[in-house]
Amino acid sequence: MRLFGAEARAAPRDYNNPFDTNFDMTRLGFPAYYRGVHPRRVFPSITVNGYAVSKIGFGTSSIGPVNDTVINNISNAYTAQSDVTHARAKHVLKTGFEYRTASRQLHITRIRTRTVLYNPLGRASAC
Amino acid sequence: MLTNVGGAISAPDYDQQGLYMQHWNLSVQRQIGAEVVLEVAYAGSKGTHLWQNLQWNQLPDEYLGLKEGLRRVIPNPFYRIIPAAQALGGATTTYGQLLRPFPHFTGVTSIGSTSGSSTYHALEIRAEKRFSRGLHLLASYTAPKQIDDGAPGARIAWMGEEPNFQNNNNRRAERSLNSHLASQRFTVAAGWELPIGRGKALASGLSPLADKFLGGWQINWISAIQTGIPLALTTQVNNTNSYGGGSRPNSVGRSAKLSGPIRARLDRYFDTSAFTQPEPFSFGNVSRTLPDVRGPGQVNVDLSLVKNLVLAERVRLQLRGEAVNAFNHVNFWNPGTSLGGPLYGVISGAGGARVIQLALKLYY
Repeated sequence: MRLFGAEARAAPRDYNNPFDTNFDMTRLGFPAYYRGVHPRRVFPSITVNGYAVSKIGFGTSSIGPVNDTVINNISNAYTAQSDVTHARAKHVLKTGFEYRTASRQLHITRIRTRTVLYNPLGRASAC
Repeated sequence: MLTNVGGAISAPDYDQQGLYMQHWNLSVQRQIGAEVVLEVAYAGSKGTHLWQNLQWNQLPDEYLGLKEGLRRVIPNPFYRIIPAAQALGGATTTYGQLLRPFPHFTGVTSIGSTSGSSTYHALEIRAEKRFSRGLHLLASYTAPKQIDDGAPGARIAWMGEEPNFQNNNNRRAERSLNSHLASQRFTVAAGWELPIGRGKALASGLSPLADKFLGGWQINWISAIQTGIPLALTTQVNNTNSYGGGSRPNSVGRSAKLSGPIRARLDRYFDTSAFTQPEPFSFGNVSRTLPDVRGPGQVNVDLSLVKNLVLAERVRLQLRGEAVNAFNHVNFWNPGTSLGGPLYGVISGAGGARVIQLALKLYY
């Protein structure tokens, strides 16, 4: 018995990259006035007051991007493989080849600090 | 470009080539009896345009010939141009600093340059006994070899940083054994339901009460034995004056490999006299990782003993005893590899001792 296999896969580009510029944080459920307070339209960097765990999120102490931090983002990955299997009596002979490629966009964050205090009763205040 | 002028800058490499890996393999499988399969395989792999962080601001090699002249202190032409708070903002600087490709920065690092490459070849042998008569067993042996030119800045949590480049101007000389790969690894995973008790091969005539104690036992075994990873030597003091390069020792021309029990050479795991500090203003000649000296091998056996007790049709009690590193094997860490450092050649620690945990579970 002889079997041939081949497969190709592509991981599609993620256009909804939250670390890209022009990310609209209201999509996360933040109120619209937050958007006005932030100087750039990127995923917000969130630190939790009194939360002392040193490494969370992207190896930093905040949730979301931190200024001057590289966030790797593999945006395209392709895999192609083929193999042949030959079975005879008590033996199975297999050979195959696989090709994988990836390209990435590297994002380095440049966030100018704006602290937005969350106040569940009123408007956010910028400081 | 004035971003952090007078200090160090780093940025992702804009000129990205497509990273790709090619894998190939050939295997022969043979069935032995009804339940055992033996497989022997060759696997190969080649990586191209792998990611590396590169230092672009190292002094060109030809300037090392200026020797002490590199250290000469001269008036800083960037004085009052570079902010005074920066490392290079002072009234004086060195001759060597001004000969760097970007004399107004201390370091210029590109992140994720697609300049790396690797080759991998491995022999893989695997034997599997499928589950029958209460026993399953999987044993595999791998003998891999990977040569690559490193990925400085990359980090594998429990293995530490990848060794740095010594000379960024000669990255071909960085090609050596992968710093994280053992040369041989043997693993066994097995589970055995003891054939004792009602419905089993032995003592099937037990009374229901006696069966509650003697039946329903299971032993599981997971073990991994591997050789050490290659040692990567550096020097405690960097006398190269290369402004951005690392420093490795010189080899005196003989292997530093020592034999004998590890316990007898904890203070001198390898022949420390086989390496010397290179002359100032020159690079050492040992490879990024040593081809012949590896750290201590590692042996780990995890065992568990499980007793299942059926209390009622839908209620089952399970008592588990689990031991990690069951035989309490001492897995020594790698020795210190910094020539001239206090722990050079010295093994100063070991991996985890045996841990036993007991658990009682009620399934209903």
